[in-house]
Amino acid sequence: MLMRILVCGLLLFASFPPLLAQPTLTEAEKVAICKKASQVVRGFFDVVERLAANDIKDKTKKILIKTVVEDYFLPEGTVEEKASSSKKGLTRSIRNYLNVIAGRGQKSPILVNYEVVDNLTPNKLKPKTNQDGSISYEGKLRVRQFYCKLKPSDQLSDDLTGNCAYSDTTIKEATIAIRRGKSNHDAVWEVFILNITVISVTKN
Amino acid sequence: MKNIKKILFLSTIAVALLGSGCSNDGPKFYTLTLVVTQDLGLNENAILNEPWQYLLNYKFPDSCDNAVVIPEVTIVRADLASNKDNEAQIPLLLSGFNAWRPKSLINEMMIQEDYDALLPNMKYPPILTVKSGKTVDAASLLANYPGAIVTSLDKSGEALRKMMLSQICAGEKKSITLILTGGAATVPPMITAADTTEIESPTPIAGDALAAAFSTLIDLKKSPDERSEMISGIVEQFFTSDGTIEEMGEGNLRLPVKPVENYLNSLITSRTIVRLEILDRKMKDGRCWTVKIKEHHQ
Repeated sequence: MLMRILVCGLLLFASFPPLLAQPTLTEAEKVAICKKASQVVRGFFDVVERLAANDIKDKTKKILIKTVVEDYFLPEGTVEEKASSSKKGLTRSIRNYLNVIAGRGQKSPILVNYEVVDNLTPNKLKPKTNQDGSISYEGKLRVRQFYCKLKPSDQLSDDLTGNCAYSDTTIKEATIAIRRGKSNHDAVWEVFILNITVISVTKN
Repeated sequence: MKNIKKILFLSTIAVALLGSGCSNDGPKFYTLTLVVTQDLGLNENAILNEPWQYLLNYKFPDSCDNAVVIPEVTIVRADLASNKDNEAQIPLLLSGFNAWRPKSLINEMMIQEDYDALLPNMKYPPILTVKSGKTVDAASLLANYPGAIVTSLDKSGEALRKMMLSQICAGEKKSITLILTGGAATVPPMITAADTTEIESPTPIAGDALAAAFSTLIDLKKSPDERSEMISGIVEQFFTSDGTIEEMGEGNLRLPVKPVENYLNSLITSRTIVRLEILDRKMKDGRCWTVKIKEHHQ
Protein backbone atom coordinates (compact mmCIF):
# COMPACT_ATOMS: atom_id res chain seq x y z
CA MET A 1 0.00 0.00 0.00
CA LEU A 2 2.76 2.34 0.95
CA MET A 3 4.52 1.51 -2.28
CA ARG A 4 1.36 2.29 -4.23
CA ILE A 5 1.00 5.69 -2.61
CA LEU A 6 4.62 6.42 -3.30
CA VAL A 7 4.30 5.50 -6.98
CA CYS A 8 1.10 7.51 -7.36
CA GLY A 9 2.74 10.45 -5.67
CA LEU A 10 5.69 10.27 -8.00
CA LEU A 11 3.43 10.03 -11.05
CA LEU A 12 1.41 13.02 -9.89
CA PHE A 13 4.59 14.99 -9.27
CA ALA A 14 5.96 14.11 -12.67
CA SER A 15 2.75 15.12 -14.42
CA PHE A 16 3.37 18.80 -13.61
CA PRO A 17 6.72 19.50 -15.15
CA PRO A 18 6.01 23.26 -15.45
CA LEU A 19 5.92 23.41 -11.69
CA LEU A 20 9.18 21.58 -11.44
CA ALA A 21 11.23 23.53 -13.91
CA GLN A 22 10.00 27.06 -14.52
CA PRO A 23 12.28 28.89 -16.93
CA THR A 24 14.65 31.23 -15.20
CA LEU A 25 17.27 33.59 -16.50
CA THR A 26 20.78 32.28 -16.93
CA GLU A 27 23.63 34.47 -15.77
CA ALA A 28 24.45 35.46 -19.35
CA GLU A 29 20.81 36.32 -19.97
CA LYS A 30 20.75 38.41 -16.83
CA VAL A 31 23.66 40.46 -18.13
CA ALA A 32 21.83 41.00 -21.42
CA ILE A 33 18.58 41.84 -19.65
CA CYS A 34 20.33 44.49 -17.56
CA LYS A 35 21.74 46.11 -20.68
CA LYS A 36 18.33 46.01 -22.30
CA ALA A 37 16.77 47.59 -19.22
CA SER A 38 19.30 50.39 -19.37
CA GLN A 39 18.53 50.96 -23.04
CA VAL A 40 14.80 51.10 -22.38
CA VAL A 41 15.21 53.61 -19.55
CA ARG A 42 17.58 55.74 -21.62
CA GLY A 43 15.10 55.55 -24.48
CA PHE A 44 12.40 56.92 -22.19
CA PHE A 45 14.53 59.83 -20.99
CA ASP A 46 15.66 60.61 -24.53
CA VAL A 47 12.01 61.02 -25.48
CA VAL A 48 11.25 63.15 -22.42
CA GLU A 49 14.14 65.40 -23.38
CA ARG A 50 12.75 65.98 -26.87
CA LEU A 51 9.15 66.48 -25.77
CA ALA A 52 10.22 68.98 -23.13
CA ALA A 53 12.44 70.89 -25.53
CA ASN A 54 9.52 71.22 -27.95
CA ASP A 55 11.92 71.18 -30.88
CA ILE A 56 10.11 68.53 -32.88
CA LYS A 57 6.95 68.38 -34.92
CA ASP A 58 3.69 67.21 -33.38
CA LYS A 59 3.71 64.22 -35.71
CA THR A 60 7.07 63.12 -34.34
CA LYS A 61 5.88 63.69 -30.76
CA LYS A 62 2.97 61.34 -31.34
CA ILE A 63 5.28 58.65 -32.69
CA LEU A 64 7.61 59.00 -29.73
CA ILE A 65 4.80 58.88 -27.18
CA LYS A 66 3.34 55.80 -28.83
CA THR A 67 6.74 54.10 -28.81
CA VAL A 68 7.30 54.77 -25.13
CA VAL A 69 3.80 53.81 -24.06
CA GLU A 70 3.65 50.60 -26.07
CA ASP A 71 7.24 49.41 -26.14
CA TYR A 72 8.92 50.71 -23.00
CA PHE A 73 6.26 50.64 -20.27
CA LEU A 74 3.79 48.13 -18.95
CA PRO A 75 0.21 49.27 -19.63
CA GLU A 76 -0.19 50.15 -15.97
CA GLY A 77 3.15 51.99 -15.94
CA THR A 78 3.40 55.26 -14.05
CA VAL A 79 5.82 58.14 -13.58
CA GLU A 80 6.10 60.26 -10.47
CA GLU A 81 7.04 63.93 -10.50
CA LYS A 82 7.90 66.12 -7.59
CA ALA A 83 8.82 69.78 -7.45
CA SER A 84 11.52 70.81 -5.02
CA SER A 85 8.99 72.90 -3.13
CA SER A 86 6.44 70.10 -2.76
CA LYS A 87 6.28 67.56 -0.01
CA LYS A 88 4.34 65.06 -2.05
CA GLY A 89 4.92 63.79 -5.54
CA LEU A 90 2.33 63.44 -8.24
CA THR A 91 2.01 60.10 -10.03
CA ARG A 92 0.60 59.93 -13.52
CA SER A 93 0.07 57.19 -16.06
CA ILE A 94 2.88 57.08 -18.59
CA ARG A 95 0.73 58.44 -21.41
CA ASN A 96 -0.58 61.25 -19.25
CA TYR A 97 2.91 62.11 -18.04
CA LEU A 98 4.33 62.36 -21.56
CA ASN A 99 1.42 64.51 -22.71
CA VAL A 100 1.91 66.81 -19.73
CA ILE A 101 5.61 67.19 -20.50
CA ALA A 102 4.85 67.87 -24.16
CA GLY A 103 2.24 70.46 -23.17
CA ARG A 104 4.65 72.20 -20.80
CA GLY A 105 7.31 72.27 -23.45
CA GLN A 106 4.92 73.97 -25.84
CA LYS A 107 4.26 76.74 -23.35
CA SER A 108 7.88 77.23 -22.45
CA PRO A 109 10.81 75.05 -23.57
CA ILE A 110 12.34 72.90 -20.86
CA LEU A 111 15.88 71.62 -20.89
CA VAL A 112 16.11 68.07 -19.63
CA ASN A 113 19.28 66.10 -19.31
CA TYR A 114 20.01 62.87 -17.51
CA GLU A 115 22.59 60.30 -16.59
CA VAL A 116 22.25 56.80 -15.23
CA VAL A 117 23.87 56.89 -11.81
CA ASP A 118 23.11 53.41 -10.57
CA ASN A 119 22.81 50.77 -13.24
CA LEU A 120 20.92 47.54 -12.98
CA THR A 121 23.25 44.60 -12.43
CA PRO A 122 22.49 40.86 -12.46
CA ASN A 123 22.77 40.56 -8.69
CA LYS A 124 20.06 43.21 -8.29
CA LEU A 125 17.51 41.21 -10.26
CA LYS A 126 14.99 39.81 -7.80
CA PRO A 127 13.08 36.68 -8.84
CA LYS A 128 9.41 36.57 -8.09
CA THR A 129 7.11 33.53 -8.25
CA ASN A 130 3.76 34.40 -9.79
CA GLN A 131 0.39 32.82 -9.03
CA ASP A 132 0.67 30.52 -12.02
CA GLY A 133 4.04 29.32 -10.84
CA SER A 134 6.03 31.21 -13.45
CA ILE A 135 9.08 33.19 -12.49
CA SER A 136 9.45 36.88 -13.24
CA TYR A 137 12.06 39.37 -12.10
CA GLU A 138 12.23 42.92 -10.94
CA GLY A 139 15.15 45.26 -10.76
CA LYS A 140 15.82 48.93 -10.19
CA LEU A 141 18.12 51.50 -11.65
CA ARG A 142 18.60 55.13 -10.82
CA VAL A 143 18.88 58.19 -13.00
CA ARG A 144 19.87 61.73 -12.16
CA GLN A 145 17.70 64.14 -14.12
CA PHE A 146 18.43 67.82 -14.64
CA TYR A 147 15.32 69.91 -15.33
CA CYS A 148 15.34 73.57 -16.34
CA LYS A 149 12.30 75.52 -17.40
CA LEU A 150 13.67 78.28 -19.55
CA LYS A 151 12.79 81.92 -19.04
CA PRO A 152 10.90 83.64 -21.86
CA SER A 153 13.16 84.12 -24.85
CA ASP A 154 13.41 87.90 -24.42
CA GLN A 155 14.85 87.35 -20.94
CA LEU A 156 17.51 84.85 -21.90
CA SER A 157 21.10 85.96 -21.50
CA ASP A 158 24.58 84.66 -22.22
CA ASP A 159 24.84 83.71 -18.57
CA LEU A 160 23.65 80.14 -18.97
CA THR A 161 23.24 79.52 -15.27
CA GLY A 162 20.66 82.27 -14.96
CA ASN A 163 18.40 81.26 -17.79
CA CYS A 164 16.17 78.86 -15.88
CA ALA A 165 12.91 80.16 -14.48
CA TYR A 166 12.81 76.94 -12.47
CA SER A 167 15.48 74.30 -12.17
CA ASP A 168 16.00 71.17 -10.13
CA THR A 169 17.95 67.94 -10.08
CA THR A 170 15.99 64.79 -9.34
CA ILE A 171 17.15 61.30 -8.52
CA LYS A 172 14.62 58.98 -10.10
CA GLU A 173 14.32 55.25 -9.68
CA ALA A 174 12.99 53.07 -12.47
CA THR A 175 11.53 49.70 -11.57
CA ILE A 176 12.01 47.21 -14.34
CA ALA A 177 9.73 44.21 -14.78
CA ILE A 178 11.10 41.17 -16.58
CA ARG A 179 8.62 38.48 -17.38
CA ARG A 180 8.12 35.48 -19.56
CA GLY A 181 5.98 35.99 -22.64
CA LYS A 182 5.17 34.56 -26.02
CA SER A 183 6.18 36.08 -29.30
CA ASN A 184 5.48 34.36 -32.63
CA HIS A 185 4.84 31.17 -30.64
CA ASP A 186 8.29 31.34 -29.08
CA ALA A 187 8.99 31.87 -25.42
CA VAL A 188 10.73 35.18 -24.86
CA TRP A 189 11.62 37.50 -22.01
CA GLU A 190 9.89 40.86 -21.95
CA VAL A 191 11.52 43.92 -20.43
CA PHE A 192 9.32 46.84 -19.42
CA ILE A 193 9.43 49.79 -17.10
CA LEU A 194 6.87 49.29 -14.35
CA ASN A 195 7.19 52.72 -12.80
CA ILE A 196 9.49 55.63 -12.20
CA THR A 197 9.49 57.18 -8.77
CA VAL A 198 11.23 60.17 -7.26
CA ILE A 199 13.90 59.46 -4.68
CA SER A 200 15.05 63.00 -4.06
CA VAL A 201 14.74 66.50 -5.49
CA THR A 202 17.24 69.30 -5.11
CA LYS A 203 16.52 72.84 -6.23
CA ASN A 204 19.38 74.16 -8.30
CA MET B 1 15.53 42.91 -49.79
CA LYS B 2 12.32 42.46 -47.97
CA ASN B 3 10.63 40.89 -45.02
CA ILE B 4 13.17 41.74 -42.45
CA LYS B 5 13.66 39.97 -39.24
CA LYS B 6 16.04 41.22 -36.68
CA ILE B 7 18.04 39.75 -33.89
CA LEU B 8 19.31 42.20 -31.38
CA PHE B 9 22.24 41.49 -29.18
CA LEU B 10 21.77 43.84 -26.35
CA SER B 11 24.36 46.53 -26.30
CA THR B 12 25.78 44.61 -29.18
CA ILE B 13 22.65 44.02 -31.11
CA ALA B 14 22.20 41.99 -34.22
CA VAL B 15 19.47 42.21 -36.77
CA ALA B 16 18.22 39.42 -38.92
CA LEU B 17 16.69 40.62 -42.11
CA LEU B 18 14.61 38.43 -44.29
CA GLY B 19 14.75 39.46 -47.86
CA SER B 20 13.26 37.61 -50.72
CA GLY B 21 13.79 35.96 -53.99
CA CYS B 22 13.02 32.65 -55.58
CA SER B 23 14.49 30.85 -58.55
CA ASN B 24 14.81 27.59 -60.30
CA ASP B 25 18.27 28.13 -61.69
CA GLY B 26 21.53 29.15 -60.24
CA PRO B 27 22.12 32.85 -60.64
CA LYS B 28 24.87 34.33 -62.74
CA PHE B 29 26.47 37.50 -61.57
CA TYR B 30 28.18 40.21 -63.48
CA THR B 31 29.17 43.75 -62.82
CA LEU B 32 27.52 46.49 -64.74
CA THR B 33 29.06 49.92 -64.48
CA LEU B 34 26.94 52.73 -65.79
CA VAL B 35 28.81 55.95 -66.36
CA VAL B 36 26.42 58.85 -66.60
CA THR B 37 27.01 62.54 -66.98
CA GLN B 38 23.79 63.87 -65.58
CA ASP B 39 21.26 63.26 -62.88
CA LEU B 40 18.97 60.57 -64.16
CA GLY B 41 16.04 62.17 -62.43
CA LEU B 42 14.94 59.00 -60.75
CA ASN B 43 13.12 59.04 -57.50
CA GLU B 44 11.91 56.37 -55.17
CA ASN B 45 8.39 56.26 -56.47
CA ALA B 46 9.23 56.58 -60.12
CA ILE B 47 8.67 53.63 -62.35
CA LEU B 48 11.78 52.97 -64.36
CA ASN B 49 11.28 53.35 -68.04
CA GLU B 50 11.92 50.66 -70.55
CA PRO B 51 15.66 50.95 -71.21
CA TRP B 52 16.40 50.90 -67.49
CA GLN B 53 14.16 47.96 -66.85
CA TYR B 54 16.01 46.01 -69.47
CA LEU B 55 19.40 47.07 -68.22
CA LEU B 56 18.80 46.24 -64.59
CA ASN B 57 16.57 43.25 -64.95
CA TYR B 58 17.45 39.94 -63.40
CA LYS B 59 15.91 37.46 -65.70
CA PHE B 60 16.86 36.93 -69.31
CA PRO B 61 14.93 33.91 -70.47
CA ASP B 62 15.85 34.37 -74.08
CA SER B 63 19.55 34.62 -73.49
CA CYS B 64 20.74 32.44 -70.67
CA ASP B 65 18.67 29.28 -70.60
CA ASN B 66 16.23 30.73 -68.15
CA ALA B 67 18.96 31.62 -65.68
CA VAL B 68 18.77 34.47 -63.28
CA VAL B 69 21.44 36.94 -64.22
CA ILE B 70 22.12 39.49 -61.58
CA PRO B 71 23.83 42.71 -62.44
CA GLU B 72 25.88 44.28 -59.73
CA VAL B 73 25.38 47.83 -60.70
CA THR B 74 27.62 50.75 -59.99
CA ILE B 75 26.59 54.12 -61.26
CA VAL B 76 29.32 56.67 -61.74
CA ARG B 77 28.34 60.30 -61.96
CA ALA B 78 31.21 61.34 -64.16
CA ASP B 79 30.11 64.94 -64.15
CA LEU B 80 30.47 65.23 -60.41
CA ALA B 81 33.79 65.81 -58.79
CA SER B 82 34.63 63.56 -55.89
CA ASN B 83 34.16 66.02 -53.14
CA LYS B 84 31.84 66.50 -50.26
CA ASP B 85 29.66 69.00 -52.05
CA ASN B 86 28.58 66.32 -54.43
CA GLU B 87 28.01 63.57 -51.94
CA ALA B 88 24.56 64.82 -51.15
CA GLN B 89 23.44 64.51 -54.73
CA ILE B 90 24.48 60.95 -55.13
CA PRO B 91 22.15 59.25 -52.67
CA LEU B 92 19.25 60.84 -54.49
CA LEU B 93 20.27 58.93 -57.51
CA LEU B 94 20.96 55.81 -55.55
CA SER B 95 17.69 55.80 -53.71
CA GLY B 96 15.64 55.65 -56.85
CA PHE B 97 17.43 52.58 -58.03
CA ASN B 98 17.49 50.91 -54.71
CA ALA B 99 13.82 51.46 -54.18
CA TRP B 100 13.06 49.89 -57.49
CA ARG B 101 15.50 47.06 -57.15
CA PRO B 102 14.06 45.18 -54.13
CA LYS B 103 10.67 45.23 -55.77
CA SER B 104 12.20 43.82 -58.86
CA LEU B 105 13.94 41.22 -56.77
CA ILE B 106 10.61 40.10 -55.43
CA ASN B 107 8.93 40.06 -58.77
CA GLU B 108 11.60 38.72 -60.99
CA MET B 109 13.80 36.39 -59.05
CA MET B 110 12.86 32.86 -58.23
CA ILE B 111 16.00 31.85 -56.46
CA GLN B 112 15.80 28.79 -54.30
CA GLU B 113 19.41 27.75 -54.05
CA ASP B 114 21.52 28.29 -51.04
CA TYR B 115 23.82 31.10 -52.05
CA ASP B 116 26.44 30.09 -49.54
CA ALA B 117 26.88 26.71 -51.17
CA LEU B 118 26.32 27.88 -54.67
CA LEU B 119 28.64 30.79 -54.78
CA PRO B 120 31.07 30.70 -51.92
CA ASN B 121 32.87 33.75 -53.12
CA MET B 122 29.80 35.70 -54.01
CA LYS B 123 27.25 34.92 -51.41
CA TYR B 124 24.90 37.74 -51.72
CA PRO B 125 22.89 39.47 -54.37
CA PRO B 126 24.52 42.68 -55.33
CA ILE B 127 23.31 46.14 -54.76
CA LEU B 128 23.52 49.32 -56.63
CA THR B 129 26.24 51.65 -55.61
CA VAL B 130 26.83 55.13 -56.81
CA LYS B 131 30.10 56.95 -56.76
CA SER B 132 31.21 60.26 -58.06
CA GLY B 133 33.76 60.52 -60.77
CA LYS B 134 35.60 63.60 -61.91
CA THR B 135 34.45 66.20 -64.33
CA VAL B 136 35.70 64.96 -67.62
CA ASP B 137 35.30 65.45 -71.31
CA ALA B 138 34.43 62.71 -73.73
CA ALA B 139 38.01 61.78 -74.47
CA SER B 140 38.82 61.45 -70.79
CA LEU B 141 35.76 59.34 -70.21
CA LEU B 142 36.84 56.87 -72.81
CA ALA B 143 40.35 56.84 -71.45
CA ASN B 144 39.11 56.28 -67.91
CA TYR B 145 36.91 53.38 -68.91
CA PRO B 146 38.76 51.37 -71.51
CA GLY B 147 36.58 48.81 -73.12
CA ALA B 148 33.41 50.61 -72.19
CA ILE B 149 30.40 50.56 -74.43
CA VAL B 150 29.23 54.04 -75.22
CA THR B 151 25.56 54.21 -75.86
CA SER B 152 22.50 56.30 -75.41
CA LEU B 153 19.52 55.72 -73.23
CA ASP B 154 17.43 56.47 -76.26
CA LYS B 155 18.66 53.28 -77.74
CA SER B 156 16.49 50.25 -77.40
CA GLY B 157 16.94 48.68 -74.00
CA GLU B 158 16.17 45.31 -75.43
CA ALA B 159 18.95 45.56 -77.97
CA LEU B 160 21.36 46.61 -75.26
CA ARG B 161 20.31 43.77 -73.07
CA LYS B 162 20.71 41.21 -75.80
CA MET B 163 24.12 42.51 -76.62
CA MET B 164 25.24 42.40 -72.99
CA LEU B 165 23.70 39.07 -72.23
CA SER B 166 25.08 37.35 -75.25
CA GLN B 167 28.49 38.00 -73.76
CA ILE B 168 27.52 37.29 -70.16
CA CYS B 169 25.70 34.05 -70.87
CA ALA B 170 28.44 32.79 -73.10
CA GLY B 171 30.78 33.32 -70.20
CA GLU B 172 32.90 35.70 -72.23
CA LYS B 173 32.63 38.51 -69.77
CA LYS B 174 31.82 39.08 -66.15
CA SER B 175 31.88 42.81 -66.29
CA ILE B 176 30.40 45.39 -68.60
CA THR B 177 30.78 49.14 -68.57
CA LEU B 178 28.33 51.37 -70.35
CA ILE B 179 28.95 55.05 -70.85
CA LEU B 180 25.55 56.58 -71.27
CA THR B 181 25.58 59.65 -73.42
CA GLY B 182 23.80 62.85 -72.70
CA GLY B 183 24.21 65.72 -70.30
CA ALA B 184 27.46 67.58 -69.98
CA ALA B 185 29.70 65.13 -71.74
CA THR B 186 29.48 64.61 -75.44
CA VAL B 187 30.72 61.25 -76.49
CA PRO B 188 30.68 59.52 -79.80
CA PRO B 189 27.83 57.10 -80.37
CA MET B 190 28.16 53.42 -79.78
CA ILE B 191 31.66 52.15 -79.43
CA THR B 192 31.82 48.48 -78.51
CA ALA B 193 34.87 46.96 -77.02
CA ALA B 194 35.74 44.07 -74.78
CA ASP B 195 35.94 44.54 -71.05
CA THR B 196 37.79 41.74 -69.38
CA THR B 197 37.72 42.92 -65.81
CA GLU B 198 37.00 39.97 -63.58
CA ILE B 199 34.90 40.17 -60.48
CA GLU B 200 37.10 39.80 -57.45
CA SER B 201 35.22 41.08 -54.49
CA PRO B 202 31.51 41.42 -55.01
CA THR B 203 29.65 44.26 -53.53
CA PRO B 204 27.73 42.87 -50.59
CA ILE B 205 23.99 42.58 -50.58
CA ALA B 206 21.74 45.43 -49.80
CA GLY B 207 22.91 44.99 -46.24
CA ASP B 208 25.36 47.75 -46.98
CA ALA B 209 22.60 49.98 -48.20
CA LEU B 210 20.57 49.02 -45.17
CA ALA B 211 23.45 49.76 -42.85
CA ALA B 212 23.91 53.09 -44.61
CA ALA B 213 20.24 53.87 -44.16
CA PHE B 214 20.38 52.88 -40.50
CA SER B 215 23.51 54.94 -39.99
CA THR B 216 21.73 57.96 -41.36
CA LEU B 217 18.81 57.19 -39.10
CA ILE B 218 20.98 57.17 -35.99
CA ASP B 219 22.99 60.20 -37.08
CA LEU B 220 22.77 62.60 -34.17
CA LYS B 221 23.38 65.52 -36.51
CA LYS B 222 19.95 64.89 -37.94
CA SER B 223 16.94 66.15 -36.04
CA PRO B 224 14.37 63.67 -34.72
CA ASP B 225 11.96 65.03 -37.32
CA GLU B 226 14.37 64.24 -40.12
CA ARG B 227 15.05 60.83 -38.71
CA SER B 228 11.35 60.15 -38.28
CA GLU B 229 10.61 61.12 -41.85
CA MET B 230 13.18 58.65 -43.14
CA ILE B 231 11.48 55.67 -41.61
CA SER B 232 8.73 55.08 -44.12
CA GLY B 233 11.32 55.18 -46.90
CA ILE B 234 13.52 52.64 -45.16
CA VAL B 235 10.58 50.34 -44.53
CA GLU B 236 9.45 50.66 -48.12
CA GLN B 237 12.90 50.04 -49.49
CA PHE B 238 14.05 47.14 -47.39
CA PHE B 239 11.15 45.51 -45.62
CA THR B 240 7.85 43.91 -46.38
CA SER B 241 4.80 45.54 -44.88
CA ASP B 242 4.74 42.84 -42.21
CA GLY B 243 8.51 42.87 -41.65
CA THR B 244 9.51 42.15 -38.10
CA ILE B 245 12.50 42.49 -35.87
CA GLU B 246 13.57 39.93 -33.38
CA GLU B 247 15.83 40.94 -30.57
CA MET B 248 18.40 38.65 -29.08
CA GLY B 249 20.99 39.17 -26.44
CA GLU B 250 23.95 37.48 -24.90
CA GLY B 251 23.35 33.95 -23.70
CA ASN B 252 20.91 33.54 -26.56
CA LEU B 253 18.41 35.69 -24.73
CA ARG B 254 15.25 36.06 -26.76
CA LEU B 255 13.11 39.15 -26.61
CA PRO B 256 9.76 39.80 -28.30
CA VAL B 257 9.42 40.16 -32.02
CA LYS B 258 8.17 43.59 -32.96
CA PRO B 259 7.09 45.29 -36.16
CA VAL B 260 10.03 46.84 -37.92
CA GLU B 261 8.48 50.29 -37.79
CA ASN B 262 8.32 50.13 -34.01
CA TYR B 263 11.98 49.30 -33.87
CA LEU B 264 12.92 52.11 -36.22
CA ASN B 265 10.77 54.54 -34.25
CA SER B 266 12.78 53.67 -31.17
CA LEU B 267 15.90 54.92 -32.98
CA ILE B 268 14.52 58.40 -33.64
CA THR B 269 15.82 59.86 -30.41
CA SER B 270 18.39 57.25 -29.47
CA ARG B 271 21.64 58.73 -28.31
CA THR B 272 23.24 55.47 -27.31
CA ILE B 273 23.49 53.59 -30.59
CA VAL B 274 26.67 54.69 -32.29
CA ARG B 275 27.07 52.14 -35.05
CA LEU B 276 25.29 49.32 -36.83
CA GLU B 277 27.51 46.60 -38.18
CA ILE B 278 26.53 43.91 -40.65
CA LEU B 279 27.61 40.59 -39.16
CA ASP B 280 26.27 37.89 -41.39
CA ARG B 281 24.01 37.32 -44.35
CA LYS B 282 22.44 34.18 -45.60
CA MET B 283 19.53 32.98 -47.61
CA LYS B 284 16.78 31.59 -45.46
CA ASP B 285 14.21 29.04 -46.62
CA GLY B 286 14.79 29.88 -50.27
CA ARG B 287 12.62 32.95 -50.14
CA CYS B 288 14.08 35.38 -47.75
CA TRP B 289 17.32 36.84 -46.62
CA THR B 290 18.44 36.87 -43.06
CA VAL B 291 20.90 39.56 -42.16
CA LYS B 292 22.29 39.99 -38.70
CA ILE B 293 23.25 43.46 -37.68
CA LYS B 294 25.09 44.25 -34.52
CA GLU B 295 24.24 47.40 -32.68
CA HIS B 296 27.07 49.19 -30.94
CA HIS B 297 26.02 51.24 -27.98
CA GLN B 298 27.88 53.90 -26.07
